Amino acid sequence: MARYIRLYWMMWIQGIQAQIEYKSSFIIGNVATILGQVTGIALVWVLFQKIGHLNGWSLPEIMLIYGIAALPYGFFELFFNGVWSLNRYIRMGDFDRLLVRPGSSLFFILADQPMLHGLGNIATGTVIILLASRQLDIRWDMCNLLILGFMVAWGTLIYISINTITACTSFWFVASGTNFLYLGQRFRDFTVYPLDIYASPLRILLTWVIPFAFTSFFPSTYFLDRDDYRVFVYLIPVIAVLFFGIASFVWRIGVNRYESTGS
Amino acid sequence: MSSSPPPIISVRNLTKEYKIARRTEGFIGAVKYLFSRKYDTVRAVDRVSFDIYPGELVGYIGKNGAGKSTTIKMLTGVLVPTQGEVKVNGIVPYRDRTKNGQNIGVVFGQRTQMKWDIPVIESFRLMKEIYQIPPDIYKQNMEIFCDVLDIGSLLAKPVRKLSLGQRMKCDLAIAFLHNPKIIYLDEPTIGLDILVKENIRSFIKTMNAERNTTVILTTHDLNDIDSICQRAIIIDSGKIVYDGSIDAIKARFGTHKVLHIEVKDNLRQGDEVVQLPAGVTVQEFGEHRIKLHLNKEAASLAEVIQTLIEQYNIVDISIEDVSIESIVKQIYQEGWHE
Repeated sequence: MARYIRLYWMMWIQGIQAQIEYKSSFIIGNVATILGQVTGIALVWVLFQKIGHLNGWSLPEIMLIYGIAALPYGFFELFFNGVWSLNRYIRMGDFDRLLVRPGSSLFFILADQPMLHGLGNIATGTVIILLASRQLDIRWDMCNLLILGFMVAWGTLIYISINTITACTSFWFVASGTNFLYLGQRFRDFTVYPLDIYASPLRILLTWVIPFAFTSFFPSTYFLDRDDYRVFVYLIPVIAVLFFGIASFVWRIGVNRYESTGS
Repeated sequence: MSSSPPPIISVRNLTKEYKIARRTEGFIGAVKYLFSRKYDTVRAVDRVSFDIYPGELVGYIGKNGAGKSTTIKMLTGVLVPTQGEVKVNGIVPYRDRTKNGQNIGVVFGQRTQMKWDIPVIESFRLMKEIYQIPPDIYKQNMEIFCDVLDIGSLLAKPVRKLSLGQRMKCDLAIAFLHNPKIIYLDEPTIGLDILVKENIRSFIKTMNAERNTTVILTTHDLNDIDSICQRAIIIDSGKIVYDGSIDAIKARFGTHKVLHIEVKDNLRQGDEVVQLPAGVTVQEFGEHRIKLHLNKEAASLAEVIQTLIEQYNIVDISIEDVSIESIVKQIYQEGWHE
């Protein structure tokens, strides 16, 4: 384990080093991410000038969900975004190189391409959380910070799992590119709002199938003292571990099915 | 043979089949392809068996699409065989990739293990971590590689700034960095100039001699095989057509010579060389040049030259051994009959 952490750290630093080589791309990526988040929250704000609340949820409450949603997403991008390059690896035949190394190929691919613009998501998320907390009177004492930290960590693991599973489609359909990843990621857009505004099929989907609700909405209910969702809060680590187990299993099947390129 | 160690690589009836979607042409074909797919099964590797012993230098030869790379990929654990068994140092490679990875070094010709945008040395440091190479071995190997492969001055450069030859030397060094028992080299000299080729060949031979590293090499450049390997396995359409020593190939074809003759006469296409003894074939004829292939066992060299002198006004004659390339071509075409 210690070996993997050291190794990971080294790969991450090198990945960042490679990205900083292209300064403009780094700056544009982050500015775009921050602008994207700001327009997203501005839209919510505009909406709330017309309506007082959304299915009983106030603007600051929704801002809190919005902000918390940005954190695990940002950490995923910043640290484990590599699964997005799996398709390119397979298409170019470069995946071979990872398979001949001692160690988990999933590990090597996850650490491959950190995206620095994850920082943009983490930064805007934090600001939005702080703005919301002022109005909601949430204190970020040691205990709350620790709990939030754990929730973000589990949320990041859920992101890893969902993205790994969708990325694995490349083992079967190389030509699909990153379409399945985009498709999976689209469901993320729903989870910046309270889950109970959706009809039950979508609720079930976001809870049990593509469990993004455990990365934003359920964690937020804890800080909003919504005890009716408490059982889902306890389920966060269970869901994270379960889905990571599924992701590892799908990965293993995919790798054994992998056919490499012609030459 | 009872005293020889057990094989380090053991392959039995190894087979790999690919399913290839069948496409028909045109728009209708494309639409059909979208909805229903029929597959053709192609056997890239067909019941291949061999043993390789520690310290052997083996050339794995074949045309494009003969099944070379597919075999190497099954040996390295990249691909799962359709049928048959493969054991490398007692491990089934695709079942235990981690353990197998520690025992092997691989160079996939055109692909680099290094990260494109950062200095070369960073990739070496990463490999040190990945393979958990002890500091003293790392230091010792880096010294040897910098010396033999002359890569010391490249370490601070970003990989994308290296020439192909420089990159290949670095990749080769990375493959040997953790003192692997077995090295797989898939087209290691492709596209390189002769000096770099020579450098790489002598490096491989040195490592083999000093560390008893087993080397399996695929290449299109038969000079690689000639200068590095003792044994050749020739594969065609997924099947082994020859497995034996390079020397046996040479002995078999050593009596074959190629004659290049330059003449003053203006030769015209269609004119034939008359009265040549049996066992001689004309390979080129035109301008002022004639190229003949002859088997000394069937035809006397002196007799052939005599015939030519009587017929033509000869400027120059040179006699060469048959290249391994044409030998291999001949084995492909005719098989190896004892």
